Amino acid sequence: MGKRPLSFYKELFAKILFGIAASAAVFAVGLICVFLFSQGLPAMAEMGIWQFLTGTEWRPTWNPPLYGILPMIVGSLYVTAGAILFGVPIGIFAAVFMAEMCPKGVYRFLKPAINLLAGIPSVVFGYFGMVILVPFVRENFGGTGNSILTASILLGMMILPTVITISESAMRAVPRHIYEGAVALGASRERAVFFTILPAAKSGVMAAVVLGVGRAIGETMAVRMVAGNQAILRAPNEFLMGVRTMTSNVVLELGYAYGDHRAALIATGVVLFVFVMIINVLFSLLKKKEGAR
Amino acid sequence: MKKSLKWILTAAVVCVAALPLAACGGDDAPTTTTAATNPPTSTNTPPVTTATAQETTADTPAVTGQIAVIAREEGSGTRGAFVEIVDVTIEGNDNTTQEAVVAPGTSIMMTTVAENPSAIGYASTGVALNDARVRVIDIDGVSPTVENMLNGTYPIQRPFIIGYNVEDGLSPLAQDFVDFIFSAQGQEVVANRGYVPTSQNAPDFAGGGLTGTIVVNGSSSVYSLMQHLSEAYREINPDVTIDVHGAGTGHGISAARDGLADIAMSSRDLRESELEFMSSLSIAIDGIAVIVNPDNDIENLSLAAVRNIFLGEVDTWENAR
Repeated sequence: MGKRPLSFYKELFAKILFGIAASAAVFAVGLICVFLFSQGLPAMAEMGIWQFLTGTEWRPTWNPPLYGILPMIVGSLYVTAGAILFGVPIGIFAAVFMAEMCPKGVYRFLKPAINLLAGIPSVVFGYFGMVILVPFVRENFGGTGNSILTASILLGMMILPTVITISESAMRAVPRHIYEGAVALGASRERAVFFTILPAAKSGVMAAVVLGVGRAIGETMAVRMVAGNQAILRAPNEFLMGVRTMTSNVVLELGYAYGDHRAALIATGVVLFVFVMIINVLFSLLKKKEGAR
Repeated sequence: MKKSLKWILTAAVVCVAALPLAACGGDDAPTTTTAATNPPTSTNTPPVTTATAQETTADTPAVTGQIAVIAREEGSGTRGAFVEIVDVTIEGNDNTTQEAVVAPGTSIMMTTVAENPSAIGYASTGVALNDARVRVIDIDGVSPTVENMLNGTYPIQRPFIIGYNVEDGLSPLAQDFVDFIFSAQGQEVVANRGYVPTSQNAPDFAGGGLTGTIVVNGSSSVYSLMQHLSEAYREINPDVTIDVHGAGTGHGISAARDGLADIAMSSRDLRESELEFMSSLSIAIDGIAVIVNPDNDIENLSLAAVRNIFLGEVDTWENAR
């Protein structure tokens, strides 16, 4: 065995270091999976999975208790859909503006402002929502103000930085000649942007939307401060009424819960986890389809 | 094709115009605050004579319409005590209206009631009486003052009780800790946590240098206060270990009976059967205040009316009066 150069050991060391770093993330996901499923699934099985998922009454302190999380599942879907409704159009158009049309001077102000928005802690967003948005919605639309609409607006605001930043960089990554070709063929600047660059950056923009959805569905602190947290199954036209999301359900009661109640909350976490996984799978399927074409 | 392009462009222009607003929403919050909080007077409520809410309640307009019921989350000690004392139950189960907004935590309860003119909520008296953003109302004509709680006329209150096995008695160390709880220092901790101290003009605590272990078990509502008491005691006696467990009132009492705990904690009066073997000392009173928005002119509700509001059987302020 000949003597190896120092660079070999340096390389090996770096490989191991990066390998450990990479596996740390996988290890964390695995650990969380094991914890969630080992604690949540038996409880779900005991309560009856179907009954748990489709039950409309959440009465954990009753005797006997009722654990039905359908209102929370639907609640999470409502506020996430609402967040997309408010956040995605504004976010994508903002990204188009920033990537293609923004004067340099404005960009120098806009970019840090958006980064700042991303850095605001969610509890601050929650407080802002509680003292500004809730009264605003109550006075202009009615209800108590603690509602699906309020939570949607607030979440829409919170996902803006994610949507803007990622779709902007996706658009910037589109080869310039596509745009130039369109312009050379006589398209106006706007037309070139919306019909060549935006479609070319589609998968990046989709990624931005999916990450926004992920942030919206997982958001806890801000939502529980403005959404009212009523565990009632709402119809879509009751958007001025309060709703409880899966995340707020867990965080509201976990501090006090023990026994079955605690297990039911962890099982709520399992359902949320499955939802996030479904979103991710859908996203990669979408990407695959895109690549195949 | 052309039409759709036009639409997209119009939408884009609108959004670009809105962008500065959206971007500023986060960092310019204070400016938006003043803009958004001023208009309310002009929309729904009749002209308000802005005056300090506490004194000139006669001038504040009657709040009408739907009552916004604000409750605490299930499992919260405050909610449990409120529901039990006001009897917001049906067949023994907590039946707080499902339409109630759930405020996670006392501070969010205070802010929610402070921001909503038609709100009604509840919070520990220690917190509620010291927060000018909300108004504390009387129950059956009685205000939740320290005096009214000590003489028992204010209904929504419960004692925090400690007890020990009378046959075995207290160990000298546990007796020292109990002496501390009823000293000026101990009762100061009680008052600082927002509860009503039960012993007035308590003597100063003199002691220190003890060693050993004290086991305390019982009510989870008393648990947090007991934690603070034990921390304060351990500043004087750093070598004493105090194990505080919050396994529930019933559990604590049986642990004390069986000699597994020196001191039991209870968030209710002890029963006859328990008093046969337990002593009972009231260390604090936990009162719960019913709070409304300062814009609401209501000053008094009967206990029954409060019950009906939280059950959701009365849902407008007109009917509650």
